[in-house]
Amino acid sequence: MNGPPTPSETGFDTALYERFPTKGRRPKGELEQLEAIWCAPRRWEWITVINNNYVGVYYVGAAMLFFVLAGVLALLMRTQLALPMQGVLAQETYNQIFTMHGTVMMFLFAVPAVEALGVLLLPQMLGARDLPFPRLSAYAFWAYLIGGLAFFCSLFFGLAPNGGWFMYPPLTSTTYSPGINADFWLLGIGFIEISAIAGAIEIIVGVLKTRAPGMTLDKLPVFAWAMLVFAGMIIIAFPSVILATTLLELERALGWPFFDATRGGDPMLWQHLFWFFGHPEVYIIFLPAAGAMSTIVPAVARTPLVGHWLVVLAFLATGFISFGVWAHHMFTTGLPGVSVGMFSAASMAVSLPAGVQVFSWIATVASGRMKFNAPGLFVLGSLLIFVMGGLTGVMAAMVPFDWQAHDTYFIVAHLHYVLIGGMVFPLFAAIYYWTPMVSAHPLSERLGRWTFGLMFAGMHLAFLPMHLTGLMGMPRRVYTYAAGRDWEWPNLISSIGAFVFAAGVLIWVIDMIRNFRPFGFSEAGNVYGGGGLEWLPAGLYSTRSIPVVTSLYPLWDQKNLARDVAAGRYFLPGAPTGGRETLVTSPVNAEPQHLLRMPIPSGWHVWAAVFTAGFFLLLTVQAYAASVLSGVLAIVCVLRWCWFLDHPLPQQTVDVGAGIELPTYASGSSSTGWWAMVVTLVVGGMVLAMSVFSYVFLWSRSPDTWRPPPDTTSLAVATASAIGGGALALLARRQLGRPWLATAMVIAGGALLGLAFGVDLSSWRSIGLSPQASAQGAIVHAILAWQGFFVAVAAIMALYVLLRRLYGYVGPDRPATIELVGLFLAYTAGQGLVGLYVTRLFPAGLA
Amino acid sequence: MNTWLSLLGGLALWAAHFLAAYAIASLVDISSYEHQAPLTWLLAGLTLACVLAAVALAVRAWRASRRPGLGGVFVPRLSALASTLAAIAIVWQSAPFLWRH
Ligand code: HEM
Ligand SMILES: [Cu+2]
Repeated sequence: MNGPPTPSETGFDTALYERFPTKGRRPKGELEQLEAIWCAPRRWEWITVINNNYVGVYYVGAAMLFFVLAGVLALLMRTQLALPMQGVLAQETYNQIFTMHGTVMMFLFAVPAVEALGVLLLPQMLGARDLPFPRLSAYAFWAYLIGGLAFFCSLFFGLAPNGGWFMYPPLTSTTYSPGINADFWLLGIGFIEISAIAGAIEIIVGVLKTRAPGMTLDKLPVFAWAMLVFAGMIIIAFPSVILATTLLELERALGWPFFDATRGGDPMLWQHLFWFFGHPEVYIIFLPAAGAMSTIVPAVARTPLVGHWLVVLAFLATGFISFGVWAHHMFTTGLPGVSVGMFSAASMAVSLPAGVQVFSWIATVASGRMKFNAPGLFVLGSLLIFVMGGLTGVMAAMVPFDWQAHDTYFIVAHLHYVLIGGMVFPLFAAIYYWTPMVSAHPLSERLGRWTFGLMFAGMHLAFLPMHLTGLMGMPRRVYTYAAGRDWEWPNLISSIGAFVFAAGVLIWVIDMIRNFRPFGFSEAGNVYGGGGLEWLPAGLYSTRSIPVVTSLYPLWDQKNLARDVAAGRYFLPGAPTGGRETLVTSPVNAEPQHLLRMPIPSGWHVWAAVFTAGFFLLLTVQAYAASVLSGVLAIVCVLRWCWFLDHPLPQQTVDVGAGIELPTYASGSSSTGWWAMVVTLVVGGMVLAMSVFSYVFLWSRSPDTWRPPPDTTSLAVATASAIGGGALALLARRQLGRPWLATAMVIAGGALLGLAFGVDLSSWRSIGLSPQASAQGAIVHAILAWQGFFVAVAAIMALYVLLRRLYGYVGPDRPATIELVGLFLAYTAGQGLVGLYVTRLFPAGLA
Repeated sequence: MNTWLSLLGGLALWAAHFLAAYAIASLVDISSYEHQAPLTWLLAGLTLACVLAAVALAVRAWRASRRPGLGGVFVPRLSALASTLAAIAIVWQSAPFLWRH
């Protein structure tokens, strides 16, 4: 192409790519060294493994376990509903079971399953040896498994929540839900969301920073795009539900009246916070599944995805627009008329991107030569079911229709069509398609057809009649119904369908038991002929060398790629620093930036997960002392796990292949740690934003009971110390030449933040604002509590820096820790200021 | 940075506009009659500004697609279309409100 040479993103000279594939033979022992470094776990080490080849499989396995468990609950319900007036389940049990079914399916199956798929597939697809924070994904997995199982077991003690999967107060407040059932939901789900966020951070940084060189955004696999948008949506949406669960738990445990209308609260606040998360949740589940579909369809149709870039655009648009529709779940609650119009408009708009994707798949299938193998069948089935679900969804997006269908079986039918078509079938397609990548044998084609046939038929048998039962007026969430209203037949058919579906799943389980052999030294390989890097020959170290990517479908377009990669003719053919490592590249053009040294397994992240789970579970059963102890232990484990990070290696730069030298240490925006910190702070900022929304919302419900804020002296003192604290911490990085000064600055910064917080808190206490008395008191204290949490973390970080200084680990050669701590403290200062000024100036400043 | 700005800028404008429109619509619902006209004008002005900004982003990205970077025309074209889409969505979502008032 003519014109000036294309600018480089990082200053890396992309002409160096021409050196690959290298010629000549690789030195002896190089491959053996790689194998030894990435060796398989022995004996008990399978618990502490962090390699994504293992953790990813565990993670998908756990998600499927929860799918089966929640499925069993569905069968129980359908047994109860098969005939009128049955006594299989008592009313209270039925309530617990439908709540658990919905909750487990949404929170313990759907989101973790797709996140797990990301952890398993992304490193291979992107050409990385592993994700950038392998222990973080392992931590997320263990936290999820332990927390999830404990949560599920509450069912056996009759302690399971019973308020429906969206837990509306006042039904879930202590008045109507005494006992700890609801607390199980709130703490359990809050906890699992934290694990989901940890996984999302991993995915974002992984996709942006650990791609194979040359994998510019136009060559980024469509699945990785989907996972990137998915993870971004988690970062934006999940803080809202974390805040909601925290507020409701505070109301239940301490009597802070956020949702209690008698003291100025409003149950509608829950609905806003919940659906701000809940609707995007549907797309959060759907996006990675769509990404998988967009990868599998081209492979089974043997042609590139038609309109790849339109599909990417659709992902981006979905990511944004799905946030504009939360209130469509509240059409029947009497929202102000104009906002209903807006939400209805956005709800209709959001189905457009989905339409684009469906057309792209259909066009791809039509333009290629489709093979009707197991993944292909699931892909087609998914398309059909999803389109049907979409149609009923458009119906429900029309406000007048929703008034009729709301809370009937019509909605149950719609939601299952969308979820099963949009997520379960794609997931099964993905499982069939990618099993040969991790297992020595592919799954059986013959059994796969049976699985598909039974699931497909069972699905329609179960849910098609529900549209009818719904239109005939049968409400959802009823444990039984009387005979004589023509509801018998459709219900019986639905129940039979559920069992047919379950038979399909059972056959799949049998297939897995017979054929799924992961962690071996052989893999079945590319039986479906996919074009992505994940099909390169690989061991536990992923690919032997990391290729330069020049195509969206490298395996289809780059000649001899597999051979050259396996012969070590690309980047990183060995282990130049003698440990686990991967290449870090730039976010847009994937230019090599530095070599990232990766951790080796140890038990600390597992213990951290155990104690984090312990903290939440003990809190649920109100064993407060034990809970605090467990929380402290969790913190110790996390600190211990971080301790060996940020240690420069003896070699400052190493040859990563073909004589290209890259640094082995990085800080600032080229490092993965910086990106992870920034994303974490976005999560904090979202919680803050949603708290501010809650504050304004609660004020608008009872403006006359709002009292004026404390004096301005405290405002001035708190402002000054927050700004001072943040600035000191941020500037500490410049003083690393004098390590004690830098350490002192961080500590002083933390202390000043504590001061600012203390002044703010005590000034509110001094005017007698009580968190129990009014909604204002509750929400002001909630904002303060969030800030207090950050201040506490900041204090721990400052002490951590002090400890590192005592060990001689603070100095100009390792700026990363100080830099990240500085960022965190500066954010904390900013967050404190926002809280401070919002609570003082609004609404008082308006007058 | 520039890449992300042009890729996500339009959609971010959409989000900002959505929030503002939601806030204004809520205010209209609780405010007295004489305050409603100014609020409506505010929203109309805001809508116009956001649409213009999104269109500007789209044009800029479209021009950039004639001098492709390392990643070819993919990112600039995607940005152009994303911003165009955002502009349409902004009009679409304020229409019900502006129509009624
Ligand atoms: C064939 C498999 C399935 C069957 C037979 C089934 C059956 C049911 C039944 C009978 C209900 C309760 C209706 C009521 O009493 O109101 C229900 C609710 C629900 N299901 Fe499923 N389900 C299946 C799969 C799924 C999947 C895969 C998901 C999600 C990924 C899911 C998510 C939900 C949700 C969110 C609810 C609402 C719970 C609530 O009302 O709080 N289900 N399902
Ligand atoms: Cu929705």
